[in-house]
Amino acid sequence: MPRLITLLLLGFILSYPVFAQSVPANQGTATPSLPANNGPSILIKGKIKDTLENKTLSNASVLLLRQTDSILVQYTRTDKAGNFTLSHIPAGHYLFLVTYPAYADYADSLIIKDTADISLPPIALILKSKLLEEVVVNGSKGAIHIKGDTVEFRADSFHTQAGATVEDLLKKLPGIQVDRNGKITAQGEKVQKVLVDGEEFFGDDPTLVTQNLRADMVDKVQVFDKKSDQAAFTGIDDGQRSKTINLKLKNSKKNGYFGKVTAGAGTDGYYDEQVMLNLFKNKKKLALYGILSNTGKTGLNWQERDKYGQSFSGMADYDENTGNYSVNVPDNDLETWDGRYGGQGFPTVKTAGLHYNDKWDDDRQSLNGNYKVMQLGVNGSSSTSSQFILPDTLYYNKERQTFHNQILRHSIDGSYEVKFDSTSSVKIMADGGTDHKTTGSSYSSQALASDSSLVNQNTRTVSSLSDNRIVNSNIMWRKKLPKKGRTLSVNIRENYAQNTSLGFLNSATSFYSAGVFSHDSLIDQSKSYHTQNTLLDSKITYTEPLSKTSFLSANYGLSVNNSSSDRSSFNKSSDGKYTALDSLYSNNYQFNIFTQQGGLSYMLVKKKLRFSAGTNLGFTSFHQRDLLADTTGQRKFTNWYPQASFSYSFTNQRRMNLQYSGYTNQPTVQQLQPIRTNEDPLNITIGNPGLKPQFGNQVRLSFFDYKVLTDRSIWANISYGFTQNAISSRVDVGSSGQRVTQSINVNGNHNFNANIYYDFKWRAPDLHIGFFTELNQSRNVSVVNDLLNKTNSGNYQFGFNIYKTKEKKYEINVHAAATYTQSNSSINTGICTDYWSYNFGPAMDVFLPLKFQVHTDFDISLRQKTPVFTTNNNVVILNAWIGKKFLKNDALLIKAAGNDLLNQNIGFNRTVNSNFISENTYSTIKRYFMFSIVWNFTKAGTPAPTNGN
Amino acid sequence: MHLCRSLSALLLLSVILHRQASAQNTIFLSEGKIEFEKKINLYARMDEDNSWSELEKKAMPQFKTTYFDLLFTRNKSLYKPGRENTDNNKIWEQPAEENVVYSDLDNGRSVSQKKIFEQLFLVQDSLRRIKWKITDETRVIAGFNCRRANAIIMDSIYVVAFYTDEILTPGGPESFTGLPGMILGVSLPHQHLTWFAIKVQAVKVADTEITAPQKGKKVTNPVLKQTLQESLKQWGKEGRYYIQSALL
Repeated sequence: MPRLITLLLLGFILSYPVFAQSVPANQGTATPSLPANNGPSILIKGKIKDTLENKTLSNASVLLLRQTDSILVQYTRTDKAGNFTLSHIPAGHYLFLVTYPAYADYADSLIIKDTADISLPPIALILKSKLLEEVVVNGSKGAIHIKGDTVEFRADSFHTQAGATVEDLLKKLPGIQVDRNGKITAQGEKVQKVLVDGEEFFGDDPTLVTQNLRADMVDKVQVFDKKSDQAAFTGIDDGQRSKTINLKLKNSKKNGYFGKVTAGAGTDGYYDEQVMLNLFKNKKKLALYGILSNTGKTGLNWQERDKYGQSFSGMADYDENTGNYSVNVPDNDLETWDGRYGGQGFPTVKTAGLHYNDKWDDDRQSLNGNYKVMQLGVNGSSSTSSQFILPDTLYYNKERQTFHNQILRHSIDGSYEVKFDSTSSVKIMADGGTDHKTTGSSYSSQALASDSSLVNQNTRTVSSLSDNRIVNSNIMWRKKLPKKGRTLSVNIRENYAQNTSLGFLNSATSFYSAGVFSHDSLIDQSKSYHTQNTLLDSKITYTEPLSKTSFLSANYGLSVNNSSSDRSSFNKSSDGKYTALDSLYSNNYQFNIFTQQGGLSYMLVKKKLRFSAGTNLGFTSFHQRDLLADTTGQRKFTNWYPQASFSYSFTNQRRMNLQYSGYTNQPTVQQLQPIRTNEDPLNITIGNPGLKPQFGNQVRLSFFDYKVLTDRSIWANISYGFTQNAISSRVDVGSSGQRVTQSINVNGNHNFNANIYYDFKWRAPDLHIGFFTELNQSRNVSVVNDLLNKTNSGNYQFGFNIYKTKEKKYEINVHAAATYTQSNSSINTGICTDYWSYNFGPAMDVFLPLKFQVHTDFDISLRQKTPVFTTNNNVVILNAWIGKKFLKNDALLIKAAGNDLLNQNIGFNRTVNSNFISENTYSTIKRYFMFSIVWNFTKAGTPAPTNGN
Repeated sequence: MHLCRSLSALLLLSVILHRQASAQNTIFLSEGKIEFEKKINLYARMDEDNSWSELEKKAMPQFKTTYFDLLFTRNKSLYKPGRENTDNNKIWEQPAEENVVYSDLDNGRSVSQKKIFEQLFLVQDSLRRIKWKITDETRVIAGFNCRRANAIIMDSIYVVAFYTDEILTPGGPESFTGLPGMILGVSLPHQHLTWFAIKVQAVKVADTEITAPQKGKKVTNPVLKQTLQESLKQWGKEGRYYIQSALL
């Protein structure tokens, strides 16, 4: 009220000037001198007193504002006698303002000519309380009765002109008045605060700010009584309310589509055709893609996923209790991060996908869905050279394989999340799919003894037709309880997988003794497999705050995991049909795990320090049933799941972290099932029903330091792990060269890893240089021909990267690495495998005039020969392309590319583990040339400008 | 104004009420301690088109609140981090969020200590000169009647400030000074950033309590700006935001 009077008073004395644009820089601050203006400057003197008692007022503020725009030029306070002096005032038109607590403002215009100092007559201020008695203030009129605490107006229902301000809109709403000074009254009360999406809106000064909040950006106007900040702060309602308006802004208007079409034709029958499209309307997104290609592209890469498929962020979740993010990437052997086929051979793909997501109800509900179909055919061949090390001798084995595989996959997944209010939410996720797979391989192999005499020879064909089905679902309910930090969540998970396959094995093996033919072994079988797995898991978690920074969390859960595996092998009966069950290679097994698990954990979250420790204790029981032999077994285990972590942030960019975790892995039904598998008759595996769970321990120390301003970073990690009852293998190699492998529990497995990455910027030539080194050591314990075999392996790598870029000119990247690998086995210490391999990869992009771009990259691999790896595997792969961009926004790209110009590419794999060393090379895509056109198109409605930056 | 003196303040309450009753005996503060609440709207800063934003929102509250204390005498002030807010322990700390600012109001000098990434800077420069536009809008902040003034700083940042003439010291939080009284509220609406006083204590402040910070790499504002621009030139929008925040 008094303010209103102040205004009235001011209104009488003068009307505040209309603000003008830009202001010359010359501002007086405080009593210290104003920067000297050219020309004479003037002194103003005066005295401030109280009207009523005629007393002088000390410490009154005296302000001199520029009349054109109210910019403060100079100010001072009155002294004890109420006198003031403003000095060095340049000539001009001013506004003279005097303020004093509890008094009405005094304002007057003042014209200063550069002739003489001014001595103002004494100025008398009036107490506001005195004024109140004299002025009758009209009460508010036409108050509208409104029900409830909040009144909400839908902005669109009130027509405003284009470009209208928020004030214009508010004026139209019933019960709301806006006066000419922008003061808002709602339901007869002065509005204390205007919020925009919860944040206070101060109103923009159009002379200073060009971005303004417009009426058409507002979705809803909410009027309510806000409790005082004090009440909100202490939780004690002091009964004070202030009228508040909240403006809910519209979601930015978006409506349109964009997409990409790629057409590529190459030599040697290569092709690459892609269509991707994204349609969006506000928060709805519908995306689809189709790919026909035989260049290795099998799906969207991670950048394309964000636009044309399920984005990674959409698969991620945040756990408020632990502060951790997690990404639930569906387990999918065919989908890779870069959307390319990663396996052996030549892939031919036809695939399409559909993605939909939407959010509504103020983002409280969201829906997400995907459907994908893919037909992938892969043909190819490979050859493998291996060495088996035995206590007294060794064998060499060479195998060639050709394969033709086909898969047709349908998969569908979706999630729905609903936030009931700010404290509780439910998220439901589900996915499912079918695979129809046909595989066919033919092999020929030869094993040699250490003296190069023939041990055995084998040729075989294996084919199968299989169908997989999976259905997974997960439901999560989260609730925040009234006490801050107290939460409850319930999670229920279901997994179902079923596989049926029908296959044929046809194998002929000749065995030799001392190089002389001894006997033959022929197999002609059909295989019928049926496996099924059902998991049902539930977990309830409760978190209780112990203080503002520490929490105790308890969880309890039940889990049932039932597996069955029915594997039958049939020999040909006399009628020529596969009906005679071969019991040696057949078994029907059930493996059910029931787990009851509970635990406690403590968590401390300080500004720089985080600590957590806890453990779960699980009671697990195994029910194993052999349906063919009609035997059952039951075993019980007590499993611990301890976890601890400590992290310290020296600064935001320098942290260290120490983590320990203990985990239990249960054996799989394939490892337990007492069955011999003879798909490779020279390499037989047998299940072990007595297998126990393994318990692993991992300790990891990591350090990270990033200097942003100098662009230097260090990453360092050390980790050590050891496993009790590790699931390893027992291998028996007979004199015929036949290996029989069985899973067994062993102790003594451990691994050690250390790495350090150091990157820095060399300022003068603007080069980014990085060095890295990595060290891996491990010991694997196994049993070979009844002897305990300890294999110590090591892998040491070091290298560097250099990167230089000049925007719109060029980009150069060079990386180089050298790796030393060594391994030896205790059963035959005379044989030590060790070799070096080197990798060198320079790459360059040059941006030429007329929107031409040239790219070239080398990948040079040099691998040292060893007694086993005798072939020359040095490979130089050179890829290059040249492209030109056309149209507005470079929408069209025409590109000519050469893949593996030197035609040297080979698929390559070396495995060194335990007493088995092998090198695998396989057919892969080599040299071809491709001409392609990429067209990016877009049509997007302009999003409404948003408030702020 | 007697309607809604927020109770939040005051040790001083009785003094103020007394001051109300008898204006002639108005007490003007020329030393004391002010607690500021600084709020950043974290959601408003997020990129709406970034699909990760939704997830980030789950991990942080809409407003990040921190507290600062401003100690002042008639012509000097020291602004420094105040009580800790444990709610922030899980939120990523940003550069120049825990500044210590010493202002010598008579001589127009300031010394600010700013931790920006790995480097502690000591910015020695003159006080920021702000062309304030005085308005007729008033509001009560922490029990004090304040008047609004608007300005543009650093070429483009719109500032709304509220100052009270009941405090003689012409200071304010961070680098905001130059009004005829103490600034008790500042908003940078387009940066979604506010500072508001929540408590004013009329305590004796010894000169020795207000001393300039000493540690840090000595720079001036133009040098700091150049250093940051050089280091963050490839950081795009995020880099510009960091530079702007560091130079406030």
